[in-house]
Amino acid sequence: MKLSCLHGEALLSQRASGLSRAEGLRLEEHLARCEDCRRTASMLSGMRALHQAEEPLLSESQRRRVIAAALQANTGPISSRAPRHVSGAWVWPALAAAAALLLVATFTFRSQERQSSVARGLPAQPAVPGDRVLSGGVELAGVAVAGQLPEDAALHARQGARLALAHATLELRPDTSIRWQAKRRSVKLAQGSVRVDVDPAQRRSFEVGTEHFTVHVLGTSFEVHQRSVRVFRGRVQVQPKDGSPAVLLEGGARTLYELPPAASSTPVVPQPTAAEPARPAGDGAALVDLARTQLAEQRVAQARRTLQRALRSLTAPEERAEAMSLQAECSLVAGKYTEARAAYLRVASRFAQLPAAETALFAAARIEAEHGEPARARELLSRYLARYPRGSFAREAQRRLQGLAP
Amino acid sequence: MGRLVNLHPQAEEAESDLIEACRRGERQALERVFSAHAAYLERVLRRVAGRSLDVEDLLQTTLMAAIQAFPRFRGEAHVRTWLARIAVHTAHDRLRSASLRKRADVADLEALAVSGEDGAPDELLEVRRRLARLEYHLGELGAKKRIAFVLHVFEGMPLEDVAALMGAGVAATKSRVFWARRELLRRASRDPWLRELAERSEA
Repeated sequence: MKLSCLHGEALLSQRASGLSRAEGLRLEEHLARCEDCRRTASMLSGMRALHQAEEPLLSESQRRRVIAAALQANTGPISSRAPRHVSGAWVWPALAAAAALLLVATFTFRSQERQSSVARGLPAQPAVPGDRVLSGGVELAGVAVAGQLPEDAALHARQGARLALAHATLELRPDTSIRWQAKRRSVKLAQGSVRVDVDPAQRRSFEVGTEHFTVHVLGTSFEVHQRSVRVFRGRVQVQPKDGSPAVLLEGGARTLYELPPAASSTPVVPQPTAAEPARPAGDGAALVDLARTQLAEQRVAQARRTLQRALRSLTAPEERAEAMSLQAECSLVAGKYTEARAAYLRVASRFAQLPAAETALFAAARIEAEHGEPARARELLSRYLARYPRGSFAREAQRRLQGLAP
Repeated sequence: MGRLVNLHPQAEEAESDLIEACRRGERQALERVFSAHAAYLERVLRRVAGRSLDVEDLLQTTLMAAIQAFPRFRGEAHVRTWLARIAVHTAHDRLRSASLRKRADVADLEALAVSGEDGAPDELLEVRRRLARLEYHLGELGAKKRIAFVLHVFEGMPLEDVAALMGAGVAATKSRVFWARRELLRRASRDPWLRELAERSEA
């Protein structure tokens, strides 16, 4: 039986989910003689390939943050009016879910807002729509704030928090203080560190300043400590406040602001002597954050000790991978290249399934290229490219490999 | 007569205990279940909702809806399928929202496609631009048609599974796929960027 174009089109749609052998043969036969359907087939398969183009997935830690935020938003007793997602009807359960969530969210937000504004008697600054606390707790003048944030606010996060400010999402690490100025889309980091994701689609500026520099950004993801910046995606410009030249950083790069010799003896960032003992011994993630700050301030020995303490309590592979990568970085900063390379390779082999492994393998290759043997560097770069042909550092790995050609 | 033997009875028992704990709203159990399925849900959301929606936000909304709905989860479907269904519902709601219609501006999408990474090779920019065009045309389809089409034609999911995921009948799903395909092909054949896909493979 000859296949009609209509039936052929239907089979083309079904192709991805599998055709029987007979259907497949009939479709091929039809395509051989029907030019229109051949074009349709090409277009559909082209669109399918486009749609399945590789996209960056959320990292494990991002996923964990999302899960924690969802759980935190639902800490109360589960509503008996919970929507039914299991039933067969399509629209009503979805609408009911949206309505119930909206009710819960509105009630929670309004009651918290009422309580906090009555309690604190804060000046009535106009709130900017969208500037809000997504999860965690922040304090404004010592009083907990939930929901929408004022235009100009000095905020402190004791346990860490996630905020939506203008077109950016900020993750405040524990014990972080910031000043937010909505009109300037500017965040001043007074204490601690913050991870920032800026939506590139908005094409508007956003800046994060510390005592020493200001990071100007359009659309990117980066982390700022008092004296260091680490870029995960996109580009940022770091402008030191002492008038020294600005630095352009790209994804994967990290920079450290070195204090001038006279100032080095006076620590700019409060030393964590008082804060450190107050941290619970088992709070591994907080210890990793502390180690990162110590490392950024080049207090390598302290960072090492902190990481050892952290590793005793960390169990999640992602967190262990992060801590071990920081250990490798400690060796790197201390100039112990062999040790650093070995540590990175350990991360790459132990946590092969995690994104940290990719960065670690490339870091090991780069150390070998810059401080080791070219043959070994070639081997590591080739290994990186074989494992991550479309990885974040693939282009640089190829460039380095060409430069190392025997 | 033969019999089915459960090779991992402890695991199954443990899972049913876990689900029971989720129904009671126990945080630790919810966290374990979500951790096990978050990557899968993220993939479903990305595929169904496209690249211009905030997948992190969608995932969080999905998980919040799941927490609320867990007491009514009867265990008729695997928890993964059930969660995917909530994810599809969440994406559907978002796709229908007025804000998204506003978003579906091809110029914005193209700008997003091109501004992602400076110094990207021309070929990559071309792929991104095509992808932006495809996103735009998909955005112009109705939310249900789009979801049915993407899951069946692009993701290769059998019609029955798509129907189950959308809480619709197979016939209705088939019809949605049909009309979505018609409209998308009509639009693509008029779009110089997508039309090239057919011309390229012919060449």
